[in-house]
Amino acid sequence: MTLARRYWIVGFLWLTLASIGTGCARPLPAVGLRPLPLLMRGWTRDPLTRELDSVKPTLRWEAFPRPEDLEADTEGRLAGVRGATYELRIWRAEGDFPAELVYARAGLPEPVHTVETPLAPDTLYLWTVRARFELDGHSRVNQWGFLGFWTFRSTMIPPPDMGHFGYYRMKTPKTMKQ
Amino acid sequence: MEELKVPEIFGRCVSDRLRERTSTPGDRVSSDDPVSTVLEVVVEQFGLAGPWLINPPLSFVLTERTRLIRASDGTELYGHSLTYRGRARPLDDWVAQNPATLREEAERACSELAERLVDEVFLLYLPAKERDAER
Repeated sequence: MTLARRYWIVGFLWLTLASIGTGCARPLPAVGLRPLPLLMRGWTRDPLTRELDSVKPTLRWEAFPRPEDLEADTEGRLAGVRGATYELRIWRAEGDFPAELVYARAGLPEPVHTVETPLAPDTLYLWTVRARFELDGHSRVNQWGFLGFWTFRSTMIPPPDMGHFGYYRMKTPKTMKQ
Repeated sequence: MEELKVPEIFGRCVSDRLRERTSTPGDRVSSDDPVSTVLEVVVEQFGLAGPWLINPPLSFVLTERTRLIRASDGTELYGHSLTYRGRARPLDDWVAQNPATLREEAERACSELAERLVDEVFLLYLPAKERDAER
């Protein structure tokens, strides 16, 4: 790991915590579809991680295409989008790393999904989602979603090979309540 | 590291992903079809990488370079480089664990990077603003 990359990780964690700790009201910048609020008990000691109220959580995210996608689509191509569905992945986390893919679904018709098989209790998970759709007769996807962070003046997005640092984080409750 | 045969595994993963995820065949359809473009995928480097420390945390890193080349005149139509960076483990852990762990990590790297490559070349939609920003 290069020195610059180590500084990047430290900077990412510190600035993310700092922006939350100072009551930054702006939503974190993101690549791809953002998660919507989960049913949860509260925040864990890690302010980026949400403690769920169930080991079979209901996950929600933005529908595709979003108003900002349409705004960025200066060529008007998204008018031809057909049959948008969603792909969801959940990993058991070790630290910030997606250690084991434990749940994956494709072809979800709505931007919401209740996990069908219980996750392990008291465990940190990372999840992400993307849209798959038909455009001009070809199958297309948008980018897997992950969060960046605000610095004091600008938006920072992790480099592609470190996007997993921004995957959405959730922690299951200590009991197996479903 | 050489025994891992990473370039061979990666090439196989890319072919498998092409077949699974797109209608693009990994090989030519038939010898009668003229080839219009060639997808060139090269493993540029792989191995364990980390800082110069005592018992440093090391990650398995795999970098590939993809080029889409027009067959008629060799013009590069598209070029991109992608890197996989695995979970960091202390050097002692890599040494203590048997070679199977390294092989598993290499296979995971090949599989994940092949998926990203196929997504990037054939499936990923970027709106005009983002495409312009990438150029």
